[in-house]
Amino acid sequence: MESLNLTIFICLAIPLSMTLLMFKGHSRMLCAFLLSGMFMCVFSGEINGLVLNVSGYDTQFLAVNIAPLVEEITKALPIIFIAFLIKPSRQKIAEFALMVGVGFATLENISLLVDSGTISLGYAFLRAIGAGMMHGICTLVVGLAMFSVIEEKMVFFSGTISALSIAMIYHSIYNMLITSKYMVLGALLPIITFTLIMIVSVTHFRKISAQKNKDISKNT
Amino acid sequence: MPVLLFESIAFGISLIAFIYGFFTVYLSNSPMYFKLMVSAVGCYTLEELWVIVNAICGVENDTFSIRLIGIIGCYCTFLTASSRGLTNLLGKDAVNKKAPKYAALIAPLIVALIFAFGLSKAQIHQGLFFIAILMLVFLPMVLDSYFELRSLLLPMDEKKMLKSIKLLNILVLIQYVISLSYMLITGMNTLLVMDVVSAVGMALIVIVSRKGALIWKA
Repeated sequence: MESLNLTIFICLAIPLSMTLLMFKGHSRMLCAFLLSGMFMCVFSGEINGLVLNVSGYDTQFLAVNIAPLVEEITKALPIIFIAFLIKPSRQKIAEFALMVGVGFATLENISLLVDSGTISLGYAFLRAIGAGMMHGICTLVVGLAMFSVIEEKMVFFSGTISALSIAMIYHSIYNMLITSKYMVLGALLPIITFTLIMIVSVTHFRKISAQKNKDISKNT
Repeated sequence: MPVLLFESIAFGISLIAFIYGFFTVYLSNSPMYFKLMVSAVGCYTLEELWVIVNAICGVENDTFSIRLIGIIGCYCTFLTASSRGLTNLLGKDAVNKKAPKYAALIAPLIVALIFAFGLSKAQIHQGLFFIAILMLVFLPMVLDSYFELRSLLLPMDEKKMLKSIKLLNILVLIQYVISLSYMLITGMNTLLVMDVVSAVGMALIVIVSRKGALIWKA
């Protein structure tokens, strides 16, 4: 299956794969997940292409309703695999999930930009930040949810479906905006979401550590 | 225009409810049960946002719309909450000994019957694929109603937190009844005011979740 996606993937994957031999431990895992994200981009691209040819849907319908479904499921596959295999900690699964999303976004951006031909620096910047953050956030949500529900079968299935549905809807909203005249709003959506997540995380953790310090000083 | 108006109202109500729930339940170290209830409301809010963005961007959806995935997600979160949350709060043995297993099967039976009856009355013109998607939407509702009724059948005893869990179970079951009634009345056509009613129901779920979390901490 000769395609632009696959060609770009080979050009990126081979040098990155060499680092797998040199890195050790956690660094190697992060690199492996980055590569798996890129591979999933190729895989989902082929599935989207197949659906487009077989179903007769137009590209806008595909981008809004089918592509988020396919892409979020394929991105979740490496996370599900590692979650069951080694049951990593919350921090590690978050990092792995983020790397899958970033790898996916990297290859997607390169393919789209190469396909488009000449594009402005502003559009490239907007596209890179928007898509990168969006894919990262979606996979992060799925990864963290999976960490919370891994213990029980019934809960795992329903919990993973919930997390995937949130990621799919968010992805679909982004695709709708980015392919319409509200492109700037689409690019801003993940930036705003990421900023809010960071603000809440930082203030919440500061509050918890302040509380812990208070408790320690009380005991001593 | 009416679509945007009603959906904006529904989105506004559920967004305020979710933000309130996020700060009062999520960030205040509450049990997982209440956090999952707020997550379900968050899922619903995102789904309403999708409808608004879809209306603004003018995307046409024929046989399948990813909005249905959002509804599945919302019901699956309720299912996760009720099936995991109850065992988390009371312990597996306590739940198995006290909550009757077979009596609670009435709920999924009734929900499945209403759904089947509604499906036969509904204006299904998009074929088997659409029916399959609908079944995926209502399957978590059917499963969840079992856990909700099982919690309701638990004897009250001295644990106060059961009081707030029971109220949440009643609210979720009422939400399901509303959704199914809407399906029966409209034959799967859009009834915009029902989205606002669902959003109000979600807001009540968040308020009761917060009260439940406070009772649990006390």
